[in-house]
Formats: sequence, C-alpha cells, structure tokens
Amino acid sequence: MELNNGADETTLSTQLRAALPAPTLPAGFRSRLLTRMATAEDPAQARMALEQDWQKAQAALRRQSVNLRWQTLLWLLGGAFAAGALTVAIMPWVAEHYGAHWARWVPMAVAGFGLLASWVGDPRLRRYLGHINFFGA
Amino acid sequence: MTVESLSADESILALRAQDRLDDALVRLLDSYEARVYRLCRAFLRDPTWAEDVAQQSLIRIWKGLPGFDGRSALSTWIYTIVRNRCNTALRSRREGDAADDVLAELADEQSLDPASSDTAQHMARLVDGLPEKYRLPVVLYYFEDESVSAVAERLGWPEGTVKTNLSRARAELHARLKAMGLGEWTLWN
Repeated sequence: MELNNGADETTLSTQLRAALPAPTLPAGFRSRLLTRMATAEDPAQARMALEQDWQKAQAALRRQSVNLRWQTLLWLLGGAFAAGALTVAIMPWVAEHYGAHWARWVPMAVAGFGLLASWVGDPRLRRYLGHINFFGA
Repeated sequence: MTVESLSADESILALRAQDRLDDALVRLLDSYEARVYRLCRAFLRDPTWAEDVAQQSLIRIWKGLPGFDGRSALSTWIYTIVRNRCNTALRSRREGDAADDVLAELADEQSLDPASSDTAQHMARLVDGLPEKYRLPVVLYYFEDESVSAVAERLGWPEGTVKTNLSRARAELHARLKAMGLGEWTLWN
C-alpha cells in the first residue's frame, strides 16, 4: 500500500520527526563507562592470572612433597640409628640380668609393637602388610 | 603526517598504535559513544538497558581494538559489534517478558485516543508496533538526522534495502492509522 499523495507523506514525516527525537546520552554516561572499564575483567587476563596461580600452587605442592620425603628419610635414618644405639646400650644389660633368651625376644617384641602401632596408625602400611602372606600358601 | 590531520577513525587507530591510550580512548568515545547509544536505543528501546548494552559494547570495542585488522572500515566493525551485543541481549531476555511486552503494545495501540493532544506519543507507539525490519530503519532514520546512508551503515544493510523498508514502513503506518480511523491528518494537528 502506498501513501496517497505528497501531503500525506509530508505530514507523516512531520509526525514521525516529532515522535522519534534522537535520544541524547544519559548524564554521567562517560564517567560510568570509564569506571566500568577500569573495573571490567578481561577474560584473557583473568585466565592468565588463574593459570599463574595454579602453577604457583603446583610448585608449592611439589616443594612440600620433596620436603616431606626428606623429612621422612631423615626420621627413618634417625630412628634406625637411635634403635641401634639403644640396642647396643641395653642388650648387654638385659642379657646380664635376664639371660640370653630375653636378649633375643625383647628386640623382636619391640619391633613387633612398632609394626603393630604403624599398622594401626597408617592405612597404607596396613594395606601392604595385608598383602603379605606370613604363613605361606 | 600528524594525528590531527587524520580522519577520526584513522586517528583512533594511530593513537592506539602509538600507545597513547588515553588520547585514543577519548577520541573513540567522542566519535562513537553517542552513535553507539542511539543504535542500542533503536534496538532495545529501554534507556537503562540501552545504556548498559552500549557500555558493554564500548568496552568490548576498546579491548578488541588492538586486534582490529582493517579489513573493513572501523565504523563497520564497531556497528557489527554493537548489533551483535544488542541481538544477544534481546535473545537473552526471557520469553515471558517478550510476550508481556507484545501484549502491552497491543493494549497501547487499542487504547489510542484520537482526541489526545499527545500525538507524538501515539505515533511512537505505532512505530513500536511495526515489524522489526520496518521499525529499526524508521527509528534510526529519525535518530540519525534522516540520513539513509547512516541508517544503512548502522544496520549493515544496502542503502536500497533501507529505502525500500522505509517506504513500506510509512505505508504500513498509514494503513494502521486508517484502520484505526485516524487516517485524516487533521485529527492529529
């Protein structure tokens, strides 16, 4: 459908011009935009920051793991040395007072107590010991 | 050649390339913020929503500017980003809201009072009721100083399509006015 004549066209244009004035920018538009720009998070930068955090956490975990292994090794060495020293120190006294029979059974009993305590305290050791068949097939 | 002697678009890109970021941003906003806002208003109608999407668009434009490859005009690239943002915003609006809007528009159209002195408001409501392919060029045409080329650039349409749709939109408006018994322009003046 076409407009009937030029007068209609002109009148319609006038009405439309009055009905659709160009909107002006809201007051404070730019200052709000600049604030938003300053705080807007760039996805690429955010991803990079997350990756850096993750790598730092991984490095810290690796360091802690190595430290723990060293600590465990040192505890084992120290414990073995202390146990040896104690044995050397008290075995002659045990043998002298209770006989050679007790000199064999006391270290075995202590070692057995140690294994039992570890078995109770450490599920991994409990698992490993559970696989060992002490009495054969 | 100094930056001052370049066109607005060229100076934005030159300043950005020279790492004069503050100057480039000011030039970008001076040239485009109002146009971007008007385009968002044409698409979204609601002033608050339009401001939000216009700001999102400008932030995206600013952050994406280093990656602008110059295969199109800067303005074309900018308006494409804005249109995409507006369309995404429109799509993300819930179906229920959209249905409510349509019902509200229909109610508005049916309640038009020819005796009312606020003819501009009536006309704006009628334009709002047009199909999008007619509404957008009409609204932008009057937002952009009645320039067909500006409308074509904002919408990314050929100028011929804009002219055709403008003409059909006017005819449609006239038909709707007649159907409502408002065909006589004297009623409106």
